[in-house]
Amino acid sequence: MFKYVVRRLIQAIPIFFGITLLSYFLMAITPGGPVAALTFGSRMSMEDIERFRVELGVNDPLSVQYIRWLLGDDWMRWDSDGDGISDRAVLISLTGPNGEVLPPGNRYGIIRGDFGRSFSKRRPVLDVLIERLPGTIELGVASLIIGGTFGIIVGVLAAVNHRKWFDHITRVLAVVFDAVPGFFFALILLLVFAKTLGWFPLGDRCQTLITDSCPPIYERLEYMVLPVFSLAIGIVSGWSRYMRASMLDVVSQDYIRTAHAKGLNARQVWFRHGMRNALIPIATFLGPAITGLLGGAVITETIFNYPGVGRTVIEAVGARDYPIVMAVTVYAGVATILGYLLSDILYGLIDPRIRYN
Amino acid sequence: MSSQTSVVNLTQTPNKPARSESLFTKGLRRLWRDRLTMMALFVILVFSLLAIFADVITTHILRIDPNETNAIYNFEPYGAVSDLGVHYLGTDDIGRDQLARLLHAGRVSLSIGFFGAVASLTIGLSIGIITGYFGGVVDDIFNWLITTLDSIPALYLLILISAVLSPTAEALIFVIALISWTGIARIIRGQTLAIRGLDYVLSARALGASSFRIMFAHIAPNLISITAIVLARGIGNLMLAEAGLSFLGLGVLPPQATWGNMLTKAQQFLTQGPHLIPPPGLAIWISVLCLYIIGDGIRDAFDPTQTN
Repeated sequence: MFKYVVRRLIQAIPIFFGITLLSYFLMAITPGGPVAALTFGSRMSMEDIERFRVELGVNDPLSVQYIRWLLGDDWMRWDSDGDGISDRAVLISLTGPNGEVLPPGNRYGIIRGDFGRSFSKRRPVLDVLIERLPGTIELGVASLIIGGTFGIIVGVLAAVNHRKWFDHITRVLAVVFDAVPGFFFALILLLVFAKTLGWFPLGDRCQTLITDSCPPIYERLEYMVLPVFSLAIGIVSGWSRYMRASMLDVVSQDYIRTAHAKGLNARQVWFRHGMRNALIPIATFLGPAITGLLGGAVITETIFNYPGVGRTVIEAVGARDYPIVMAVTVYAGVATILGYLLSDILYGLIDPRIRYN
Repeated sequence: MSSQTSVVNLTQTPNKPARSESLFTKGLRRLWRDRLTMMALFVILVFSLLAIFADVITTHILRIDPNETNAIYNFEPYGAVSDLGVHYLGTDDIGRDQLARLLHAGRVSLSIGFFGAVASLTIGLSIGIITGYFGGVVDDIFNWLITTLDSIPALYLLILISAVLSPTAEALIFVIALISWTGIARIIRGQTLAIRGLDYVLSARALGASSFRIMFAHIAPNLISITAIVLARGIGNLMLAEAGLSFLGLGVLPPQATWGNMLTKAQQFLTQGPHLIPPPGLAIWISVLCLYIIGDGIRDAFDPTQTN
């Protein structure tokens, strides 16, 4: 098992590099680039801007810029004798356009958790992400738990009532809600339950306070109901279909017939022998579910004005705040890789028939 | 006794040689009898016709321009009358007729879905067949590319690319296609791997067929039904993606209307214009639903394990 996890982590390394390459070069081909975004409207002279460009490193070749972003530049230009002036350099030049010595590199690279500074918020990207992460996680976890539970229950009941009205109705509903555009569903929820009936707030994570923080979750549940509902509906419709199929698959197995033949009552057979085994394949859904939730979070958080990572991306795109956009892309990729790994490990743990070697 | 009768039956020459029906015609017949799928197909056909003739309908029947603004008659309810004519679906915040916009938006949304799906299918099908057939290093490289692309939620990638390129509707088709081929390639690769080892492929190779011929004359035709399923679902998924992106204000930009960007400002106008939400939302929902039903219908009809 341990060996398997290590091997999977090693396999994830090229994928991680793929993600960083993709997000970096997409940003690199942007017209104007970061300097235009940073210096726009400021009263910097051409010389200042040129110096700024050199310090930011945008004049370096793209490959060097990518390495700086990934691994940092504190090892590219450094101060070896401790006088505060850099005296050694690899890959990048030691001096600026006018022959002056440039300061030592101070970037650590995303490998070491340095995602740079946000252009629009003027502080480290990591701080912004850490601040916004709880919003996304609480919505994601809540909708995964609620949606997953309901999906499993509906799927099992549909299989138990195979070809009866409950089965037919839930199957139709599952297809119907599989096709609903997330933002339309969210808008209808807002219109009906917040605007017309006034049961829930129109958005936000909590009552806006002077301080930027929110009280603990149980004091602001009403703010979570609609966003969680709109995220969970997709999970319910997907998982209920798979759970139904998995359950029908299991109950046609020999050991279920044996259980019946032993004289166990139907309830015991369905739930103790059937459902527990039917649940196993569901473990593989965790990875895709995490990707889906992160994608859905963009729209849900935007509509419900919920401060999470998804809304941060939209804000950052609007403000041309590339460090944030790139950081979130990498974060989403890593979360997905870990999600898939987690579901594979879970699968191996709960299904004794699976052997990793 | 019974075995004897069957022997007798077998030895009799039938009057008319039974026409052997191919799986394909059998599937088509089953599809024709599937009322739900046929209904869905009909709805999509009607939507497509409305989209294709959007120009004709708005200029000759409605006599309203979809982009004409009219500040006095904004947020008119369904069926309101202004000096421009009757607004069957009302008007938006700057007085544009919603029915005319809905028709023109359908043209953009449906064609992005359709052409995007065709383009991504072409990419996915070729890469899937090639990687599945050759395996080895080619397979490894594309596997890496596919896993990488799949690891980032599609909407993030779309947002990233749209932010960088701010694409037109036509460019968006290619952007969407370049992102969404991975799922198809995976499926096709698996199928190709399975078919590659079958006897008829081996005999084709033994007869000296080239790799290209084996891939596209012998393997590809066996992937038709799975391609049709993927295409139907793919159009639906891409329509959802485009709608989400345009809704966020990053896909197709106004004044060109799409079903997604007609809802961009819906949230701002929840009080004045709740009537603006249902038409475009329902249009996407119904189209995607019908496309999913068609996909499922084709899958059931062409499933070789099904018997009639």
